[in-house]
Amino acid sequence: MKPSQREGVKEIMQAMAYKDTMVGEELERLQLLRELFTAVPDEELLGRLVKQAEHDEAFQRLARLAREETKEILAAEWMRLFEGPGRFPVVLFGSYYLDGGKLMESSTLATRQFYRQYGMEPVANIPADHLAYELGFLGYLTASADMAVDAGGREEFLAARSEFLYRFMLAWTTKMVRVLRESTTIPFFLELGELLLFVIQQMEQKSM
Amino acid sequence: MKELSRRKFIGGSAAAIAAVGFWASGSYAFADGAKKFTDSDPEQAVLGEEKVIYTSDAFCASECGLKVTTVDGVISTIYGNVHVPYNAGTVCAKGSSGKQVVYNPYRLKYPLIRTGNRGEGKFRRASWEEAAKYIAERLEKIKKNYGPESVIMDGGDMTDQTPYWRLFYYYGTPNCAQHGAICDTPRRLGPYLVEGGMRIEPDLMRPALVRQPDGTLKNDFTYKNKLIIYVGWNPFTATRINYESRGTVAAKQNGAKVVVVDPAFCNTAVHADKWLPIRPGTDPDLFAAMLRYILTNNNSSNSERRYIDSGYLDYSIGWPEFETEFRSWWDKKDPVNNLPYFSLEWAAERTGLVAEDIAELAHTFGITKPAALIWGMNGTGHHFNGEVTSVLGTVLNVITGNFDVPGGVIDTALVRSDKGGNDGTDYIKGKVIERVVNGKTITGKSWDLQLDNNGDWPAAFWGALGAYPKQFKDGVKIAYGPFAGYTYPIKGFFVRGGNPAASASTVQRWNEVLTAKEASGDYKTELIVYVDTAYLETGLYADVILPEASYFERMGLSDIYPSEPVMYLRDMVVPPLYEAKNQVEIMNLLAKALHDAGDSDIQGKDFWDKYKKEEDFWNEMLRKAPGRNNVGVPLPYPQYPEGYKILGTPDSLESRQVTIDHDKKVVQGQPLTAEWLRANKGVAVWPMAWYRHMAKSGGIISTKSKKMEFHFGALDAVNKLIQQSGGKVPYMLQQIGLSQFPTTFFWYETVWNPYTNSKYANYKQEYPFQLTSGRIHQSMSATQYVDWLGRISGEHLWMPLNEEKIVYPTVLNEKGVETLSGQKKIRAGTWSIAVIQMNASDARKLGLISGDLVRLRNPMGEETQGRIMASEFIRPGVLRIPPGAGNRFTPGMGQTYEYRQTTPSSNRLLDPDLSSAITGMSSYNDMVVKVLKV
Ligand code: SF4
Repeated sequence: MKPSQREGVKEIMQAMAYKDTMVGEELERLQLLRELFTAVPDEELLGRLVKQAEHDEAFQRLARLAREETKEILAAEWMRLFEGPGRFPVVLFGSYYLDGGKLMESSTLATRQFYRQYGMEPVANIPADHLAYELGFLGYLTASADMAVDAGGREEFLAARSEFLYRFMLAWTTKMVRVLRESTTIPFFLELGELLLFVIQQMEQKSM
Repeated sequence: MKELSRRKFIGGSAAAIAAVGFWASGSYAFADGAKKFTDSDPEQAVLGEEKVIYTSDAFCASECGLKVTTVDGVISTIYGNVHVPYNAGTVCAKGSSGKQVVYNPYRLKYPLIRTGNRGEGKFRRASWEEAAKYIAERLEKIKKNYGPESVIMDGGDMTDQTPYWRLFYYYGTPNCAQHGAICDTPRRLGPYLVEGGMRIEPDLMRPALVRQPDGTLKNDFTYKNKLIIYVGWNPFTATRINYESRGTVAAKQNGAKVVVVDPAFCNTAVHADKWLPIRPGTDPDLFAAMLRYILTNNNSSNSERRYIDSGYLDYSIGWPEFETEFRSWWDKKDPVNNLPYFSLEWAAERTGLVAEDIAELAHTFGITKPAALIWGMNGTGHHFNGEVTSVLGTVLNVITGNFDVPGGVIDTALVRSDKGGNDGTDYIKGKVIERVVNGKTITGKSWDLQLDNNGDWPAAFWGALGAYPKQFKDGVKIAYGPFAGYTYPIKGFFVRGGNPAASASTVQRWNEVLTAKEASGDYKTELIVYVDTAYLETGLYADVILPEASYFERMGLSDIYPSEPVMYLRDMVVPPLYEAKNQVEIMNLLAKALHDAGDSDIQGKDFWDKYKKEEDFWNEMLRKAPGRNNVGVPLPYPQYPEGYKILGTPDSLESRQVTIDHDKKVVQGQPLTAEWLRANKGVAVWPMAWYRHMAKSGGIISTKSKKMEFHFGALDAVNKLIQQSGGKVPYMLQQIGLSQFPTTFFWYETVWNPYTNSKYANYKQEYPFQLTSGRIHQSMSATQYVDWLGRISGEHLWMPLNEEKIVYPTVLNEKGVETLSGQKKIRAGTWSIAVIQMNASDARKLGLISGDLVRLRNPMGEETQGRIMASEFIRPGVLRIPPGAGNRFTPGMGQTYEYRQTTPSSNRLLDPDLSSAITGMSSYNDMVVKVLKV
């Protein structure tokens, strides 16, 4: 991630006075998770993980486990699990789990269609159902609900979030985390999977 | 909902901006992803948009024309392009599953830089900038310390390696290799020497676009073939010449007879009228006996014995010399069986066929017109003596009058459309350089440092990739040309689209040289770069991996091996996923990085300023199309002078929108472009003709004399070069007892064959099996890379004989590498694996049944392991295993990788020190083994 973009998030958070609100915390969680599933965690990201843990209990264990591993081990295992090269064990695209091991199948298209209903068009060069995209979209719906001009709008967005979680994310992330559990012994990555499920399941409950 | 989102967000409020900001932030991979439809209805934007794109496949070397539909920017259907006569609308199981290559979760996505040891497969993600800088700096260091010639670029198995060649030729190395070097060069030698081409195929491509007596052009669907003999060639499985499979069936329906000569009852033999299960490595014996029979029994006044059509004497030179040399062997006795060379009894003894069958084949071939004698990769390309076979095969087709006649044979290399001109060959050939040789400064051309032609393989036309581990190990010793006496090491290896570490020479030797270290602990080969979409074995050794756009995400040109000039476009069907880039982008990016690293040989005017778009590069290549002379019957363009070179689009040539240059003898129509191809179903087809070699104006024959040469001018020239440089005899010629390259009929025995070469006779008892590897395109790497193709069985070599397997994932934790327990179960019999095909009687003798695991050991003590597939479909005493399908040790191969211990590798057992004497091709099919039960 380019620093300027990270700045952008911070600024937005501050400008919207999100710093210490519930929604602010949700967004921060999604943002962190999304980055942890996007590339090998670097020093800066691990630093933010520690900061997050200072005020967010849910992230404390992950932050502690990160400290227990060397940077090299985290990097090597991240690559082995999620990127390869070769047949890496944990694929982070929804359709892999929903469409029998294939990408860019009907569930990918349905995901993209869902984004579009909310005016969002993902970039073309990564299938739209990558975990990081979906987490980003959750954040988008969360922020939108919070900023909606009236209660009706807010409800619509929360309903959309709930629908998105049900139809897409929960359906495959639980499977993905199961594979992750079977594929690693490193506590940090086991916890990363559990934390992902915890965070989105909590959102699902709130949506209801 | 739609309305709501517009009402809530499209107002441009701060809130909307914040929400979008959240979406757009995050990792760079998603950074530029937010696009908001502010003034149009999002659902109308692109939803459901259906597009048809004509393109060409590259899933195998056939490169069939395709018609691909995308819906909403995603590939939805893949069909054959009916307008490309090469495959005429057909597509195979692989071709139609191309989606699973593009959308393969395991494809290479980002540039990677090695973090572990070579061979370990540990990498980190890098940006393109970092990777390009890394490569450029090391290339510059190598150039400074050892000279640019110390880098080898291997362009792999694609027709579109041109941008990479250009980059490396401009960088200054003359050493650009390609997969052809380890494919079948011995098979091509005969055509190359005799008529300047390379690839003799039957006249089976239909429809053919033919000029009619009334001047119009029509598609002709008739098959004129009467007899086709396939020797060691299996077009029904090794699909490169796509039209041969459908064409053979059609010709048969039209009355043609088909004979298949092969140790195995291969898929092509299934369609044959007669199958002759020959002993491996004896194809030249069969051809020599046929030629002797034809020369002996030919009688021009007896219609039952009129084998030879003496017309060839008008357009050839050197026949009397060839015939005299050939006949001079007839009185000699073969030490192996004490029978006169090339006699029927001699051939029967050696080939294991019946003498009457050989006589009948020779007679039938001689008397049937038109007929086609075709030899292939398996039989000739992969045997040490394939060079002898291909010369005799060419001669047999020519003297019987079957060359370029309807229903006969066509050298497709001589008639395909021209393309190219921008690969940098002219640049490197003209580049003047200096090197200090034995204390003296010598001036010459960069090209004079080419490692093959000035080193061990002065007559090789495509290099000797299979022999390269020797050069990595010992360095290059220039023996010929102005720099004779100069030596240099190999320090850089840039591999794109090929997998030499698993397919050229032995796996063991490549592993040895690519991981060899200096005393200092640094790797001897200072830089290895691997560029591909899939992660194959060579990638394991790379310092840098670059993800190349898959064939649906990049452009290119296809013109494979048609019987008339045809050119079709590989077009971008979808934009590259992840961070993959196309070849032109990679060329420009690396060129820029080299330039920035201080390389003054690389300038913007030759790269990024010249080829601003990918298309610019391919358009430049298309300007040469079709580039063939207006010759043959019926004359392709009766409206233009005969013999003139034809250039430009088919429609401009038809409508006479041309300029004619009478001095240069060129008819120039509108230059062909990618845009024209797009507007015309992706393909340009120019008219077919026959008898193109007979044209008074020179026709298609491309030898120096412009005549068919039975005295080989090409090898004469090499001998002269050797003489001028002090006369050092290349080591492989020495091995077979020759002091110079043969310039007319020649004969030498194949290696590791106890039945034909007395040197190996004593291996017969202890190593009772001859090992061959039948080339099957259906089992190439890319096939197993797609899971559902990996389940399909094919031709006894690739069977669902896998054992049940529990896959234990290996993990890295605080203890280092640890293997987990009980994870994934692969059920027995669900995955097609490479097997060892064995005759059932041999299996019975050894007490083996299908599925039994055995070890094969060769006389050098090398071993490979695999399961037996026992059947009647192979000659006793012969084992066949598929090349490249077994023992895959890259995790990029998925489930096939899991079976690497129980699937055999033919490459482990070949003799890495014996490459064919003239062309330098690995002898994949010459080995004897014993079978040991596991
Ligand atoms: S034969 Fe080869 S090029 Fe043709 S469709 Fe099949 S895989 Fe593609």
